[in-house]
Amino acid sequence: MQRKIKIFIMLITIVMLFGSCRKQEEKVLTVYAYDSFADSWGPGAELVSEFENKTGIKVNLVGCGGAVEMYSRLLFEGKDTPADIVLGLSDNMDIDSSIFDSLEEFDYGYYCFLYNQNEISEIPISFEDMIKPEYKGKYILVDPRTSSVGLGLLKWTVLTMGEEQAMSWWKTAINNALTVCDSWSSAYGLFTENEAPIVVSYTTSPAYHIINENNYDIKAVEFAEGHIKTTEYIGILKNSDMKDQAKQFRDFILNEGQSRIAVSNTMFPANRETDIPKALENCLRPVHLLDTGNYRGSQKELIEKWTLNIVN
Amino acid sequence: MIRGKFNITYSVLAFSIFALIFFIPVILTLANADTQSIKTILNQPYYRHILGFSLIQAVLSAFFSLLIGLPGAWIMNNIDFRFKKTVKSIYAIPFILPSILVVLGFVIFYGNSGFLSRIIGHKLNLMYSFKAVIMAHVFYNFPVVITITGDAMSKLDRRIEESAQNSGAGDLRIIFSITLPRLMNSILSSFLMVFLYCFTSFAIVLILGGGPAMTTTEVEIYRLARINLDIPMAASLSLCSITIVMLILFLQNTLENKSVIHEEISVYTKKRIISKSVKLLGNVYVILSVLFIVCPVVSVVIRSFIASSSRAGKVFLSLNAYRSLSWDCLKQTFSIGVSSALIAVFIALGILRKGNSIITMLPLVVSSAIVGLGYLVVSEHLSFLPNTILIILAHSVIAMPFALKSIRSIYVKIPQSYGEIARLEGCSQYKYFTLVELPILKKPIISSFLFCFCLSCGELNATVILGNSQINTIPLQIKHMISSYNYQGACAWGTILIVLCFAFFYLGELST
Repeated sequence: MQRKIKIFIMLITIVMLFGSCRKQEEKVLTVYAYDSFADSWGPGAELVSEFENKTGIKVNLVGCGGAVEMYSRLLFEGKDTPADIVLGLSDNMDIDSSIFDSLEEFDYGYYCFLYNQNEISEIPISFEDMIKPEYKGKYILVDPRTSSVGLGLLKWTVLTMGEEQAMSWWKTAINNALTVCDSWSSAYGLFTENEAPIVVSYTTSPAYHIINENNYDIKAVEFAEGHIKTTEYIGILKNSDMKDQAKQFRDFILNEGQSRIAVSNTMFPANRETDIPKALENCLRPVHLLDTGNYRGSQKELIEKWTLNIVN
Repeated sequence: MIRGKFNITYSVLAFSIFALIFFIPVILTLANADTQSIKTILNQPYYRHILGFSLIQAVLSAFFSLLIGLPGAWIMNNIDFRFKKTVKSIYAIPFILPSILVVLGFVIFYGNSGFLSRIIGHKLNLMYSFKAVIMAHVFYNFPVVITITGDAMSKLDRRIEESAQNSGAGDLRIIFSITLPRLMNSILSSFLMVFLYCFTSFAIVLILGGGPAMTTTEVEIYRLARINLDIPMAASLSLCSITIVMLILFLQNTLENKSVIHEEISVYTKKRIISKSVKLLGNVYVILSVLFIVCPVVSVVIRSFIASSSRAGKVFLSLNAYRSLSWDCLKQTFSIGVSSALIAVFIALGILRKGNSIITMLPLVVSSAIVGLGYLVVSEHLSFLPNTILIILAHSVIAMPFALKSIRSIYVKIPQSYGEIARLEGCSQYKYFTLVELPILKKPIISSFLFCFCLSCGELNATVILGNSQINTIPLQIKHMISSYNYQGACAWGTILIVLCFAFFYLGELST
C-alpha cells in the first residue's frame, strides 16, 4: 500500500512538473530582433521598457541570432510563429514581403571595415590589400549564410570585383582572416575583446565608442572602390493577432524611438529630421556608392556558389 | 517463473514508450531522406568536404587523446604520489561537464585575450582554428583513455613485466614490447570510442570552428534544418552519419568482446621500482594535466564576477551578471531535467530484463542532433504539443542508455536464488519487484537519475534544434551569450551549471 502511495506521489510530481512548463497565457507582443539589438549592449531592453511604460503593452523581445537566421526562423515557424513584429531585416536579403502587412525602413548605414588605431598602424585600403600576408589573422569576417552583414559583404565584393574575382578573393581572405563569425555581433565582440584589430561593420560604428566610451581610436576605412548602402526594416506580420499593438510599437520606433535607436544601434536614422549627436552626424558617408540594384542574381544561388567555392 | 503479469506488463509498457519516443521520430525523419539528396551529399564537393572533415578531425582528436592519455594511464597505475585520489576525481570532471561549458572555459582561458594570454603577456592565437577544436576534444577525451586503458592495465599480470625487469630490460623497453602489445585491444577500443564522440561533436565545432571549411555533419544537420530549412537534405545527411557511426560501433563491439583480458589477476602486488627521473616526469605530467583540466573551469567562475561598463569599457568586479539571470530559465532547465531523468529511469527499469539488446543501445548510434531533428519533424505534425514536452522526450531518449547501463550492471548481480525463493514462497512479480529488486537497485537508480539530470541540464544539440522563443535553458542561454560576447553572463550561467553538475554528481557518488 505504502508503495502505491509513493508511486502515486511520483506520478503527481511528474504531472506538476509538466504543468509548470506550460507557456504563459498572458498576452504579450512578441518582437523578433537580431542579437545586436536584443543583447545586453544593444538598444532593445531600454527602448522596450520605455515603450512598455508609455503604452502598458507587455513586450517579449527575442534575440534570434543574425538577421538571416532570424528570417529563416520566421519562415520555419510559418503561421505558428509567436512573432508579431520583426525588427532588422535588411534590404540585401531576399524577403518574401507577402508574409508582412507592412515593411518600413527604420535606419540605414554603409558597410565598411573598421580598425582600432591603437592596435594597427598600416591599414588596408582596398579588398586587394586585405588578402596580403601582412594582414594574416588581423581581421574578422562574417558568414553570409547566417548574417545579413556577411551577405552584405559578399554582395559588396561581387559588385566591386565581379563574381568570379570576388569568389577567389573570399577564398584567400577566409584563410587570411582570424575567423569567420556566424553573426555581426560575434564578430564585433571579438573585435572589442581585442582578438583582432580589423572587423567588417558599418561606417557609423565608431560613433558608439565616441558616445559611450569617449574612445576615438576606432576608425572606418574608406575604400576607393566604393561601398554599399544597407537599409534595415521593421515589419508587422500578417499572422499577428496583436496588430494594433504592433502598429503602436512600429510607430514608436519610427518616431520617438528614432534618435534613440539611431544612437544605440549606431546607424543613421531613416527619418532624416531626427536630431542626432555630432559624433554620429560626422560619421563617414562614402563618396562612391555602388548601386545594389545592379545585382540581379538570387541570394540562394549566390550563397551556394560561395559555399562550394570556399571548400573547393 | 514467478507468478503474475507484472514483469511482462512493465516491459511491454517501457518498450512501447521507448518505441514511441525514439523510433517514431527518428524513422519519420529518415523517411524524409531521398536518393536525390544522398546523391548530392556523395557527389557535391561541399558535403564530401564535411564528411571528410568530420572523419579527419575525429581521427586526429582520438590520436592526440591517446597520445596524452596513455602515459597518464601508465602513471596512475605505476607511480605513487600524494593526492592520487583527488587527481582521480579531477580526471572525472570532463565526464560531467557539458560541452558548452568546455567551449566557454576554453575561450575564457585560452582565447587571444583570455587569462593565459594575459598571464604570459602574449597573444596565443590558439582559438578559432582547427587546433582549438582538437584541443577541446582532447580535453574531453584524454581522461576517457586514462580510465579505459588504465582499467585494463590494472588487470594485467605484473609478473611478466617483473621477470623482464629481472632479465635486465629497461622501463621503456618493457612498456613498448611487453605492456603495450597486451593492451592493444583496449587501446583500439578507447580510440574508437573517442573517435565516435568527436565525430558527432556539436557545440565545440559550432563555436570554436567557423565558416564552411570547419563544419562537421552534426553542425551541418543543424544548419540545414534550422537555417536552410531543407529537411530532406538534413535527413539524408543524418542517414549517412548514422551509417558511419554504426560501422564504427560494430567494430568497437567486436573489439570489446575480444579485449576481455584472460590473464590471471595477480594478487601479488609488489610495486615495481621506478627510477627517480621517471617519477619526476610522472609528477610533471600529473600537474600539467590537472592544470589543463582545472584552469578553464576555474576561469569560468572567476570571469563571472568581472564586468565592464560598455563594449570596450573599463573592467571591475561585480555581481551584475548574477542579478540579471532569469529565474524562468533555471526553472525550465530544472523541470526539463527532472522530468526527462524520471522518464529515462522508468524506461530503463522496464527494459532491463530483456538483456542488453542492440535496440536499446540505438540512441547511441543516433546522435542527439538527429534525435532533435526527429522531434522537429514530429512537431510539424503535432503542433499542439508544446516544445518543452518535445525537449523532455528528446532528453529522455538521449539519457536512457546511460541509466540502463548503470542500473543493469547491478541488476545482473542479483542472485538467481532470490527469484527461486520468491517463486517457492508464492510471491507475485509485483511484490518481488517492489520488495526485492527495487531496494537492491535503489543506489544505481538514484545515481543514474542524478546523472541523467546532469546530462539533460547540459544538453545543447537537440535543444538548439528544437528551440523556439518559449524555450530557455541554461546551455541555450550560454550559447546565446557567447555569440553576443556577453562573457560575464555566460560565465555566471556556466558557474551555476558547474555547481549544479558537481552537486548532483557528488550526491550520486555518495549514494553508491
